[in-house]
Amino acid sequence: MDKQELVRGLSAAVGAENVFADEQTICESSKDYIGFRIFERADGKSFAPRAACVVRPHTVEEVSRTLRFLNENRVDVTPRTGGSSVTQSIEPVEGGVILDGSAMSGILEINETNMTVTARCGTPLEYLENALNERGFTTGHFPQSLPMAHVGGLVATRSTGQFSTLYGGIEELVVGLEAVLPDGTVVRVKNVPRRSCGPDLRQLFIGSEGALAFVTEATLKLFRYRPDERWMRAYAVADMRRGLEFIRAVMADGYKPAVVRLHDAAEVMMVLGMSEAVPEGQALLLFLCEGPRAIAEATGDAVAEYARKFDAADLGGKPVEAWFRTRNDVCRTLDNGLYHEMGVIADTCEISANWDEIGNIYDAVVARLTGEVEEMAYAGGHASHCYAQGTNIYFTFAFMEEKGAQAAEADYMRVVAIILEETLRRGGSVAHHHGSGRYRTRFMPEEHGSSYELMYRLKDALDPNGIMNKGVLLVERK
Amino acid sequence: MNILVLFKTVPVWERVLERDWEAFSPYGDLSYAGKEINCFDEAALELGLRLRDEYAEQGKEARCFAATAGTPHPSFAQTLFAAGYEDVAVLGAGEFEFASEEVARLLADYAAGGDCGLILAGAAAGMADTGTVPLRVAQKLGRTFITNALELRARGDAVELLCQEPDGLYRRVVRAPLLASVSNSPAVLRAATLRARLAVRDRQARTVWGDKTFDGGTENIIFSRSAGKRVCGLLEFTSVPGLAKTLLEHELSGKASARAAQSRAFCPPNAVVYDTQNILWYAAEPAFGPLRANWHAGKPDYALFADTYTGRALAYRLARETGAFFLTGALFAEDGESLFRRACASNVLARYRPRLPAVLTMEKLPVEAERVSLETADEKPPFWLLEEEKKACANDGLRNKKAVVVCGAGMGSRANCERARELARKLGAGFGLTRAAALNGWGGPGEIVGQSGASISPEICLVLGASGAGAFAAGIENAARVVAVNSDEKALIFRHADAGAVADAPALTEALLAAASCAAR
Repeated sequence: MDKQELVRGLSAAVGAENVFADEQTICESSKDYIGFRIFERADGKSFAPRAACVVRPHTVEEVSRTLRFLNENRVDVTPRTGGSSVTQSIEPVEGGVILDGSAMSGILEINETNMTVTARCGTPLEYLENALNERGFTTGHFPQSLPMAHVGGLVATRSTGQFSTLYGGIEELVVGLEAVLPDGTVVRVKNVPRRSCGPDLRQLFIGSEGALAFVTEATLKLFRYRPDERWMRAYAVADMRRGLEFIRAVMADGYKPAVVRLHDAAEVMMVLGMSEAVPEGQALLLFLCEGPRAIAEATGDAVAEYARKFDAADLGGKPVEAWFRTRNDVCRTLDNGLYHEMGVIADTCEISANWDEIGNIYDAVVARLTGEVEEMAYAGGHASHCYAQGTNIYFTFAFMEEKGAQAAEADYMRVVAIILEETLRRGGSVAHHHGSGRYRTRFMPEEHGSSYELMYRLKDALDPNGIMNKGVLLVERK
Repeated sequence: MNILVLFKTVPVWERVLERDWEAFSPYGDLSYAGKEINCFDEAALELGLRLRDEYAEQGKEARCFAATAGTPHPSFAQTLFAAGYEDVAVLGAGEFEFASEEVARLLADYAAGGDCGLILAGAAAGMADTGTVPLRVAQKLGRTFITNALELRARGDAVELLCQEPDGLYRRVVRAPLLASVSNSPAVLRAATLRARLAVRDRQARTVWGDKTFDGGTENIIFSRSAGKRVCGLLEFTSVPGLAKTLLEHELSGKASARAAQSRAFCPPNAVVYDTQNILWYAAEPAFGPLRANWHAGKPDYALFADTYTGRALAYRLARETGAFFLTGALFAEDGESLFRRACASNVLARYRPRLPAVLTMEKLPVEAERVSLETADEKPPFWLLEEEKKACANDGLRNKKAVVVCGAGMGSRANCERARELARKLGAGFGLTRAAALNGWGGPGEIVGQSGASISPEICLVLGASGAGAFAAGIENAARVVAVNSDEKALIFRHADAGAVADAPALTEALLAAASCAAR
């Protein structure tokens, strides 16, 4: 189907006013914030595939009609909402269609009795959170992409937030949802606190990254908003290993701070600029506890007790407050070309593993990045989402790119491969919360092992024509 | 050519907590906020290396050295060594905050002992933000002084500079030796590989005059939070198009702006304004003789100058010679006895009780004061100015418009900014950007509003997606009415606005464009 036919057909299905074929809209809607794409853009290059057009539906019926049309005509479609992807998950297939749910915005219901909020897929999380805060509630979900992310994308990418150690990831926050299958069928999973009626069907869509369906609506849990009852404290601890032991003790003993962050010495110096506050070579721990006052205080008291046990120096609450205030500022400068100006490609890569291996992964990755990659300008990491069983490490890195934008992707993947290889070698997961996107797809077979076959079976069942977000999660079968 | 770059480390202002601003002390512990090289100094450090590289390409030797007053953390010196600096000198011991003269003396003494064809410094550095350290060093060394450099090029024994002046963009070729201050350059200090850092791991900054300390000198300064005098009323709305209609019909039509009146500058008795606007920037020196004669004849308690290049150059020269109290960027407090100056990237106000006589450059000159116009008799360019060419005119729409639309980094993209630019055109308004948005590549340095750019005073200023950093807020302080739009209801910008809307700025821009089109029909 050529572009003109495609635009005509989609215009007939959802109205010409919802179909955009201009260069600017297509480019803006395809924009991904993975490190090498930012570098390429700053260099004036664009190597991302080009979609034929963008469709911005306003209703679930329009989503249904769009997908039905595309499915019947076997046209590739890439779903998106807020556009904060850092994994190439919203980059289109060449000549395909971008289905942009950002115009489907709005809070449908705040149910204070059942402690739920229902919002459409294009509802900005920041708007939702502000509206809830005014009524004394919170979603408890604060990804760094908060100023950019929309509800649909959060669900589809299996997002997590900075307070996840207490509230959990989005998979624990979604009560019910609505999604549209590739053939246009609308499915709803009702809102109940729990049930025992077969597999949990919500989980088919949470983290599906648009490869199985388009999420149009979600009902999320509500929590009481108690910003005045937060307990905050920072500590300097000997090194990452000691810091990981500290966190493990807190989590394994059953305490649940909302925020637990452990920054290594490299981040303390190069990212936070806190060399004057933290002794050289030491790691920095940030804790924030919240909830009913008694629980927040008891959790805080316990953390302080562990700090004494682990010889961690008390740095007071200000480092946590300062982090909290500026924690999402990066969203305003993602595309400012700063790193390109410095001649580097910089990014993050998050993995997770159990306690018995996470320290080994950290050590191995840092050793390989600093030892094997001559162009490495910086390598560090932090743990920021903790569980009784283990934690994540958010590796942060920057390398000099002197060969120009043409080489950016290959050089970037060489660095990322080191992180993911060392993680898989030790039984960890290659993606804690950013999702697979396209850049991690080749690691998915090893990530899932024998269960990977289930992904193909699901894909065949829900998207037999294979039109949905080709290239994410699933390695193309020969 | 030897290139010496003067730098300073400062707290990361954005991370300083509100309660520490409220009870600000320059020697308080702000280590939790982290420290960084001042952004203007960082640009100067990179421009020095680029010039060195350019000389190397031409087969000429150039070497880069850095110097600072005070005691930066050793990691900063390692960063500079790894980037290519051959030497980092730390002058004196302890902290030198609000001590521009002492810092300038240290730096000038140090520079005088070397053979540096070019000295570079950030336009504003340190907590005091006076931006006078480069000027003071240049005058102490008797050097040619060029301000507002954005880019540098090697031209034999001369240096070519691209300078963003208030009235436009200039290309100047200046014979060395010279001292240039760097302002809104997009240059950022280059990264170095870990191996390069490892190679300099054992190198330390060189302490020079480690026995010279500074005892503070801030005991007579009272600090207060610079939070603006406006009380923001948040606009309630049910839909973004509805909000756009309200803004267009009420705020942007000028109906609301009549409520606020521009504040006038207080004028103390026995003050003389020395008007320097007829003096060409390179001809301040010949004007000094008449200025000195006039000052000695009348001995005014307050000699006041505009806070411009020539105003500062003449004021500092006069203060040096007469021993008068000297302050730049000053504002009179209404008690008539004390003075304010912005500090810490305009996040606090420093209140001074000056001794008399005082020589001041003023943010706003009092209209009631006696005026003495200074003229330049000889307008021939000096021998050191080899070429000068105006490359572009200033964005006078920013200064002479009744309404101005300003975009911050929260607009998210250049495309969204372009839509806001279109909105400004449709409304017949001027268009400006915050420094952060301009450095995102969404506009030129001539469009920057704020401490390092233009100070504007329109009847209505619509601020879209700006966080409200102190340095930006200083630039809109004289607007009769400020309307701010930000999706974060806790954004500082609402402290500097008369009316605000918690809304998505790009979406509201689209709605305003649509509403403006409807209104036009």
